[in-house]
Amino acid sequence: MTRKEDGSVGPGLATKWDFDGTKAVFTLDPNATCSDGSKITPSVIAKNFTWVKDPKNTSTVIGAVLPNRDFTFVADDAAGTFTLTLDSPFSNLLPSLSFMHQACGAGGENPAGLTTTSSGSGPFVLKTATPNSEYVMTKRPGFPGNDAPGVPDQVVMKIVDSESTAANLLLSGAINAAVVNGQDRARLTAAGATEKTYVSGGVVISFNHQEGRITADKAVRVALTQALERGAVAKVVTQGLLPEAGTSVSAAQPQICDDASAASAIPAFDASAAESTLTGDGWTKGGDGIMTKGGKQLAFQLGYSTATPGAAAAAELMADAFGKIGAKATISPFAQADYTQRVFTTGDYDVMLQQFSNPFPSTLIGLLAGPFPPDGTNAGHVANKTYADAVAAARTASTQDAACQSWTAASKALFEEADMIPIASWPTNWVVKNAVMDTLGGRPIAESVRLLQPR
Amino acid sequence: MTTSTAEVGKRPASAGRPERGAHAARGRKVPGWVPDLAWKLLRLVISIWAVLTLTFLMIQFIPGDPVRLALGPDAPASLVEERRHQLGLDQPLVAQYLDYWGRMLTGDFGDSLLSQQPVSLLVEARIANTATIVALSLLAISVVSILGGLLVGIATHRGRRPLLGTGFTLATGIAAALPDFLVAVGLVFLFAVTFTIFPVAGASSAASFVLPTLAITLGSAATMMRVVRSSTAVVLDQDYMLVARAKRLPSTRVYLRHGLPNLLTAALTLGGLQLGTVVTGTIVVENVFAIPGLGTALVQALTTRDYPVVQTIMVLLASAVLVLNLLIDVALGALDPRSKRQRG
Repeated sequence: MTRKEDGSVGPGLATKWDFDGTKAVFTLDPNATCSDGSKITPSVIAKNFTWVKDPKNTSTVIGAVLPNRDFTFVADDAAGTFTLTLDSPFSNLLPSLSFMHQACGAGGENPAGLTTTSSGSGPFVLKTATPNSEYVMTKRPGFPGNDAPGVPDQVVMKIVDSESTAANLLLSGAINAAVVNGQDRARLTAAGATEKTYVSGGVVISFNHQEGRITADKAVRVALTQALERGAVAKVVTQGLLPEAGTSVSAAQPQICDDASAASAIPAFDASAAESTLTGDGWTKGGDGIMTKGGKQLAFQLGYSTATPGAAAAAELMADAFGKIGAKATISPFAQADYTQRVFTTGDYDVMLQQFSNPFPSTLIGLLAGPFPPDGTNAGHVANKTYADAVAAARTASTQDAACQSWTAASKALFEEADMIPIASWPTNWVVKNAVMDTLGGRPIAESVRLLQPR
Repeated sequence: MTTSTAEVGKRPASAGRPERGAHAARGRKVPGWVPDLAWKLLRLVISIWAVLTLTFLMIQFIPGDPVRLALGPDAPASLVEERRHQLGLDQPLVAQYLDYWGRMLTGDFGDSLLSQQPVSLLVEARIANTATIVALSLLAISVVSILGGLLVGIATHRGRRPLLGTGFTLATGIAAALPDFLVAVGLVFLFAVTFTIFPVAGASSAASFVLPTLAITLGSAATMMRVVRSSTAVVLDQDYMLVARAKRLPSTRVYLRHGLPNLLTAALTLGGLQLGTVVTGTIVVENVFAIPGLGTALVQALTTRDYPVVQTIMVLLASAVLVLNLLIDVALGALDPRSKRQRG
């Protein structure tokens, strides 16, 4: 499957499909071929699903694309169909499958060999791979459209951690495109590069509900949300690229469900209303300007991952806003590995500024409605029955529209309880020089890359 | 006859304390250098053991969940636990430590938690770039500091050319104080972006190594140059240099045959200490220039807590520094036996 700009699904290896919520029948393109020239048949697809289903492979497709391993499948090469049956309804199956790559040819026979070679149906073939450094791909002869003017013979993908280095490479002509979100954009556009910003995710704040945490109190969560001018925080965390307040916890484009209408349930910015919410809950301001209740100060930890650019400045702005209503936030930066452990396993946080890149609202189910660790990843102990019910309805909906209505209801339930609040949409800003290309979900579309002048 | 380093070193050992292993050498007819080398090798083994153990413990106690990070936020808890079990991360610390040693001793560095590829492949693909930068930097530091320090030392001896002396002190002071990172950024701006003479980043050609080498060399060479200049001033005042000049030997012979060898003790001693600086500088500079070397891999692995990669690279880099230090130690002992007695 592929996805379109509007979020709907389109044909890929499958040209036709029929899905009733649990059972999907895909009819494969009879002309689809692998980079080694072999035919891509339903049996080839079946090999991929066999590998994913095998627990010893601990495939990341489980959880991200398919809800679990309790599925069955049948490949019918004669009819050209592949039938997938789930154990329970999963309305996001079709768009989810657009994220599951299918290995064919030698790669289908031996997936372990795919660490250094490629074996797929796309327009380029991997030539060399230096993990976390450089990947060189060459044009696949005979692939439809590959003879068009401007299609590069070779595409080199370089992993460059520093945006400044990437910008320098662009300016020197060593590369044609890079993701640059920060202040280096100015000198690139001044030098004639073009840029386009895509929404590739979102930034949210999560409140921990664990017993004993100060944020287990709904009034505190609501008041802290009211204290925030989310648009101002958005401007800071996205470094000015997307200055509007976020409206969705699954904002990545193309969105599967447009749940923007749920944003009306987010407690609006109003510092005096925030103080009133706290005083109504029994909090009183002490001599030091900090709210107290039952001898306990309204003091908490405000965490973020150091891997999120702009988060440090955003956390400072948020702590300042919280301070104005008598809440004392201690800013805590966490290395990415530490951050993931706290968010998904230990739950050792009060308020966490989080950046997600999930296009599916279903991605958050484990965090917000699943079992608590060690059985699940609901480390913040969120127990929002309205949200859980809406999620269940969305997952079992027979149509995408019905599912989206339920996902919107689920988002609304989260916002009303101030369990998780969207702050910003997360940008991926592609800067391109001497070339053109399209992207989907912030990722380049291989077939669209064209060089404007030979290098 | 001339007086040189070798002759200075020929003074009776009884002038100081007896050399280590001297008694054993007399009893068993073992050459004197054998116990000394054995002692140095033992120290090397103990140091490498300490590095391995500290690396293991350090990475264990930094908070974080590499498995969750590798599998992503969508992965069910059961999947995370399965992978953790596969990797042996659910085992007690002692069992993990023993397994770690077992693997290290058999040359099995394990698989990367993120890419799931053997760490040996990653090292194989990157070690040449790091080794090239380190080797070029050490060579540049040695040549520039020894020749530069010697020439300036001679030129400014006994207060001659005060302007040159002041300028040298000022320039080397500034160069030594500049962090590698800042130097690297400045070099990129000047020589890669403004004047596109060298590549901005990567390791695609020999030219790619010029700016990284310069960035590492500048500070260390400046520091060493000052030491060599000071040593030159001391050596030039020695009696044997006076004798050499009195015999009207050619200047090049006086300075290179009689002066230079006596300078090398101080230069080599400081050079050994600079090795660590060069290696850590390489880690920083590789990241600035996006060079696919062990330094960039180490930083990436540290942020993602990719244990096998961090441990392997730390052990390789630390072992390289320790082994090179041992070689310098041995070279110093051969060059100037006094150092052997002093260093123990």
